Amino acid sequence: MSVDAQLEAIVGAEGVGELGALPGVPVAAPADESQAAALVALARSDRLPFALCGLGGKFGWTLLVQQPRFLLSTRRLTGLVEFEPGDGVLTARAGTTLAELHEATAPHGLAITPDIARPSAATLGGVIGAGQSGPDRLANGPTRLHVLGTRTLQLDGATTKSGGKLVKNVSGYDVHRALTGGCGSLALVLEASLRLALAPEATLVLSQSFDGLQPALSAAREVRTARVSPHSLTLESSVGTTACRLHVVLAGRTAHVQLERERLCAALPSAEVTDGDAARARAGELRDLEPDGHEHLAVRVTASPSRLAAAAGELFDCLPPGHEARLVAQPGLATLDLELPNGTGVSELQEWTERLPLLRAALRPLGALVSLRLPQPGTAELVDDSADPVRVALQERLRATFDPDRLLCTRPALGGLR
Amino acid sequence: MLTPTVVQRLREVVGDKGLVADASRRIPYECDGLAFERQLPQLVLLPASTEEVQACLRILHAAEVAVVTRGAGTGLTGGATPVEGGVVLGLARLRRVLEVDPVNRFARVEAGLVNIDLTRACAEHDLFYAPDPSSQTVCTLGGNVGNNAGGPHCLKYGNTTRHVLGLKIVLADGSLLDLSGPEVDPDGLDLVGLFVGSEGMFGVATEVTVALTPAPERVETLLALFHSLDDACDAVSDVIAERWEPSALEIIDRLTIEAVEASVLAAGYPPGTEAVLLVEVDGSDVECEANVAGIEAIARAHGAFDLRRAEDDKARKKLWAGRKGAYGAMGRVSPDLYVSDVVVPRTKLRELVRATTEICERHGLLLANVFHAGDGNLHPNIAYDRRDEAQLKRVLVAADEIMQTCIDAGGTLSGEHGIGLEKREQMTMYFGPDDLAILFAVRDAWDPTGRMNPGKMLPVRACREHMPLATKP
Repeated sequence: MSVDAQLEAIVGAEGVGELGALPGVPVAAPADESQAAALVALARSDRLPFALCGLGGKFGWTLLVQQPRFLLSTRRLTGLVEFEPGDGVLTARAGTTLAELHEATAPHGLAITPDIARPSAATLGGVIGAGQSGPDRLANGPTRLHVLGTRTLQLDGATTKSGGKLVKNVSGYDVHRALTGGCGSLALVLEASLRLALAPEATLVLSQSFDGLQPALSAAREVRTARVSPHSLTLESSVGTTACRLHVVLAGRTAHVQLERERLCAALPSAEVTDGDAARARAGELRDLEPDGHEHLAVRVTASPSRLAAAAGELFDCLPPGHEARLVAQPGLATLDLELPNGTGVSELQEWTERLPLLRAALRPLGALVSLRLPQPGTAELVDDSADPVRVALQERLRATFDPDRLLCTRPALGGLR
Repeated sequence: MLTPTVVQRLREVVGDKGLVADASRRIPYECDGLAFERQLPQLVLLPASTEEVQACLRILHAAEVAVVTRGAGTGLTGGATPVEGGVVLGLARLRRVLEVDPVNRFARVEAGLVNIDLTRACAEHDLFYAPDPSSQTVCTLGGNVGNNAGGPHCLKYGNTTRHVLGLKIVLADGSLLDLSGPEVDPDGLDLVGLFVGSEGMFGVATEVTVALTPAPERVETLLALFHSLDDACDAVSDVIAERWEPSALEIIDRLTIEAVEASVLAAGYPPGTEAVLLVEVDGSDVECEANVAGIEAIARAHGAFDLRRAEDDKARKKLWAGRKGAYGAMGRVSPDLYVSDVVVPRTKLRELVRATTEICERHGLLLANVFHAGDGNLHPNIAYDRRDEAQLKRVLVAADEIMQTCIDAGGTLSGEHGIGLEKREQMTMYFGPDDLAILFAVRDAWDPTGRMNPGKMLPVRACREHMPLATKP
């Protein structure tokens, strides 16, 4: 029987499909955990390499070490498992979208963090696998700190838990921390519990334009020292211009937001102010600016806040001649995304494969890292082979612990490429 | 094995100052805060640098000697209890602040640095290190990392793991894993996140890079006094459910109040009060005022008969000295104190605090409660005398019942103290055989020799056979 037929026998015709990022590779979406276990058992018995995904939106952020025979998607494993507003925690199945989680928590004055871009296209499991954080990370911290626990399907068919459903818990090793950002390289996350944030009473957006990146970054530094705690800080510039716009989202209790607005007068003297419903909508638009690599290749650089300007300089120096880029930065978090809209991404990948080692070398003294977001998963040639061997060896031992037969095709970054 | 030749080689690495061989000088290392678990270590090493730690571990690796890493020994679960024939590796000489970066808000320190000394080192920049275990004047950053330590203000700021940005780790074979960062996101698997809370079983953290938090503009400390512990618990559940944002919410019960007030740490908690709710809020003026008003209203609604605010820094420190000194003050009540540590859903505080009281009453034991109510982290403290073996047995049975009751109600084994020896066998209450198999396997990946703090956390009567996952039946 062909692989396609075997997959269909397990998940039914409605559970089989394809993903744009990996044409020709069947996607099997189990409707329940027993079907997921049957797919894993099939992979194990027939030695079929496979990869894990949610809706597949971040599949191009990962690295394939071998071509998968099928993808296991959690898109049909959806729904809330437990939600206790009075305790500020929620447990949901991996295929539940972030938009659905926002919808469930908002009526209770609670919010999902991470508040990531395009939440209706992102599943909880996918966000955890990618370790993706949103701009609200500036206020709430990264995703890995909000995952309280997970229930996972191991490759030997066992269902295991790590952590729990409480805001405080130090029982056992935090295996869920390895799963968060592990790019689906260890096990299938079935459910995850999240610590919830408080939904803000008021939101305000201050926006100011600057002549270039450096003055905008200087202003962002001033904001950080102005005794305010912004919800997010976003800096953007369009293709073909050096002008930048800095947006500061303030969120919290109404009186506190007004106080912070006053405190920012010196740092952002000519800022436009958006408030009320328009501010909430604007904050959502700013969140969605993050390039996802679907249409165009995007490069992400992370560095300490004080080194972001220097890292940005190195990145621009590395741009191929004649290339223009759309820039989105989170200066408070020290991430900088550059989307390169001159090609399909696939055509530029070759060029970037050659430039990456140079960029890595330039960024290393700054303690900065570079990662790529592509229309399709990256391949092994993009791996940085200068990574610390002790670190690489330990990561490999951990991977082998979970996946001794090397059935999972994705792998986390080892030395600079996520 | 620790032969004279091995000892001599170790002495050459750490010098006479860094090696404790004399039996009488090894006695202080025979236990941590879990006093009834004792084992004299065969040797104590006190290296003074990461390089010395590496050299020691290389020698011990070749000699196949077990290693127990120790900070200040303030742990409460026997996590630093030595193993027979093993070495204690004390990090007390690794106590330098290596770097404070006020712009990027992080510090890099050696693992033996005392917790409070880090806050002192960065105070001039209006920054502080948030995790504040009750033992913060003594405990070390390395120990905090090992146990993922908490403290009263972790309600707002989170346990140690939220603040660790990087680590320098010496693995069992002496190799150096440099994750000192700080990195915005982990480069690959989150090894730092996995290491924090691993109780010394993965390797030795010699350097810690931590996030520093801006000092709050204003701090308000309140005391709400209740005629009943139930009412105080209900008030806390409502503060959380109504989404107020205190930085600390602590409950102290009558027995503890009496012990504190009779001690040198007398904080002014009124005698005769059944429960004190110690509340702290911080932030801007408007945030503080809003939170204070909201929390006071809830406390009144739940029958608080008196509400007091600390008028100045001195008064605030006095209130906190009482709270943080509560364990010491309990020495007036009994020679020993079994400090339990469980977490329960914050919606069930009243019923589970009551249940712990009933369990102790049933076993004829004296219970004192002082706990981090805001994050559901109960500390049922059972008074006992370790010389009374029958009583000690009753204490351990009661502690088991408390853990099981809390787990049955959706709780967990530990919120901040860790598992160590104390709760090792109780891990099976919370984790199933498959869950435990993963923990064993992860430990093997970090330390294939199993010599780093052996016998801790992972239950002896465990689970599926300890072997790589895919080879299991």
